[in-house]
Amino acid sequence: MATLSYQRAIVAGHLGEGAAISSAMIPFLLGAILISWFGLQRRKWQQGESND
Amino acid sequence: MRASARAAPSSACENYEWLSDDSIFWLSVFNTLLYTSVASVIKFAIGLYLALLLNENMPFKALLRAIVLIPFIVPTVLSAIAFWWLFDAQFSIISWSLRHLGLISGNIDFLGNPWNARWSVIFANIWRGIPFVAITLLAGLQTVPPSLYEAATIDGANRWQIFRHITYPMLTPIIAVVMTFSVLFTFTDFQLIWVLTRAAPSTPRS
Repeated sequence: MATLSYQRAIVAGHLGEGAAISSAMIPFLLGAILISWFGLQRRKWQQGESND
Repeated sequence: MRASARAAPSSACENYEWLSDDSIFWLSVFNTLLYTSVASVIKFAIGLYLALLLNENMPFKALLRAIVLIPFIVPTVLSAIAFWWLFDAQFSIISWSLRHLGLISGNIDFLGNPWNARWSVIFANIWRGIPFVAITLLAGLQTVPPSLYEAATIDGANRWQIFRHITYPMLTPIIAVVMTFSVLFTFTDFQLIWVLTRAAPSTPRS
């Protein structure tokens, strides 16, 4: 997706489309971060640690 | 390409509407997800194995740790160019070796065939990414108190039980951080794919 974004925005000159492809990556990246965060929270909860 | 025949959008949302109908975009989503998932899983497995290996007492431990770091310290573009030579359709040393061993009759088109190109860039990414996972997990392994291992050994635990009930739980926070970074870096990878394929497996390199 990053390379397609570059190809569309810089090589082909469609900046808006390249930006759209780049920003379409954000939900995937947020998803990865949230999975990791919830995994760590679950582990903390299992160990009986507080969120402080 | 379809994008070149497109009129200028009247609003920013039109770009997203256009993307939702664009088969190349969905192919790139599939390729990125495949690349990220396969490379991350393999990097984790090999990185963890290497970290466990380097955590053992062995001769030349410091030298081996430095050697493991080599793929990570080489600039991405340089390693991508090296892989480009390795994956060259005509002069690939991999094809040459396999031909001389009698395993294949003709050269393998590593970057010209879509599936070959996918596995080739995944392989290159794994090679580059393993040191990051291995060294970070090794740092995590060194924080595990040796007394836990001693207690488990006295209790008669075997190597798998020690790993399953001591090493893995103690490493979990570091694994979460390492894998988050690994997935993010792999998902947003640009240089390696651009140098190797110019963004499309079927796009000929100039």
